[in-house]
Amino acid sequence: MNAEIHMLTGAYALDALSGTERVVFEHHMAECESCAAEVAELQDTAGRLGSAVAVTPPPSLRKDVLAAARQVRQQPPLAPSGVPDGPDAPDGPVTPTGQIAPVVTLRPRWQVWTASAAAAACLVVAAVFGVQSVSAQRETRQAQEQLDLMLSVLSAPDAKIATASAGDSRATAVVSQSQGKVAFMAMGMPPLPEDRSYQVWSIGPSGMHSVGVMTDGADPAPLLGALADGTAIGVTIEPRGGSTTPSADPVMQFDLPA
Amino acid sequence: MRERARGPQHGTLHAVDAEPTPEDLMALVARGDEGAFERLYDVLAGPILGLVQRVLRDPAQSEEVAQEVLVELWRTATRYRPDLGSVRTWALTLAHRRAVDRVRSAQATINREDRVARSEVDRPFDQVADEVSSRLEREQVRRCMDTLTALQRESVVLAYYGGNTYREVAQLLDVPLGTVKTRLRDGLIRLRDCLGVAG
Repeated sequence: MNAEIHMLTGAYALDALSGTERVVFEHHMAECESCAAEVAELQDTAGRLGSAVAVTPPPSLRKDVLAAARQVRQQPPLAPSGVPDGPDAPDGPVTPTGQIAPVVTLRPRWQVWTASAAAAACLVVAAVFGVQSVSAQRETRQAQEQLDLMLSVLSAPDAKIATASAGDSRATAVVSQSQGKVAFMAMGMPPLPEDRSYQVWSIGPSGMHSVGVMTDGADPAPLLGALADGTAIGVTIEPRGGSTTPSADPVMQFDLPA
Repeated sequence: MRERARGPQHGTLHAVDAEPTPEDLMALVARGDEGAFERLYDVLAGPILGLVQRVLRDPAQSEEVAQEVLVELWRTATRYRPDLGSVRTWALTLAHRRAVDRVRSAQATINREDRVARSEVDRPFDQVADEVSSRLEREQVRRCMDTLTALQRESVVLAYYGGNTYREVAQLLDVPLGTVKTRLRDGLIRLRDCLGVAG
């Protein structure tokens, strides 16, 4: 992403980032091998600081821990590909130790899962924050306004999130049936010719309705649009500036949570 | 099994080659071996509780969080991957994260004016375990901490032992945010080199 975020390896290893920054940094780390390697070493170093303040635990703790462990079922091992399967899927790749499982797991094909609104909030804030960090300062206010809009969708009691990824691209959609809104964010979009734009559509029984046209660049600004009767999200490649109706089949598509 | 599990508290330095490493134990724990978990407990409980207590202060809450962390190690043992770091680092990273999360969720409701004291910076190594191995580790860390600049040391201590965000550290030390980010990273890198952390 940029040199500034790389400076956060130390703060990350010391858990000195706020929740939002932590998520952003983990996004970054998933794509930055040298950052991940440095973080691993610095976490090891931080661990030494932890060992240095060891105490002698009371015997009661031993008894309590062993008794508690006996009543807790162990997680099944992860599938070899690192892709979780079965009912355990949602908690597999997101174990927030920051080390064992990267928070962002790139998947070889589109996969969708749902998460709580709180987790969604993190992702949205992260997406906007990410956009801010790679945009010129003058775009900060615009990003803030978009963030406010996103948060209004997220604050709906029925807000649901769908996340999908393909190759290096990641997309997140947040929908609120009660507000009739969908918020969409993407990162790592493949570059397009100058005369083309990505356009996002809400796809439902009544057809495809435009959610918005993505701004240029790999990490376009978040979009907010009408959900209509959409049950899926599609992304098409359109003439620059977008079209009123899609001119080609979606290059990406994923279902929205009901 | 339970009696042997007490082993690491005595004569660790001589027996270290014969003792299974935490990584060996973790492999057994992943297969549901309760005896191995007891032995892992004996290796990790002291550092975990010490670290959590350092951040949280409150003894009852600290034991609660330490217990959560230790049970989490049991629960997620199958997910441990040796290529991503040592068991000790994994455990302490989790412990620190949980302690800090507890501090910050409490912070949302209570203004913790008593938690952050500048005096902390000068005496971070009180009330610690007295085993030989801990004493050696403590001495080495103390020696390496002394190689840091004052600002690096204060920043690292306030962030790690104090559980503060770098923004809070910047406020406490009255220095710009960018400076704290840099000091935290430079400080840790210098500590890494001094402690000889294996990559």
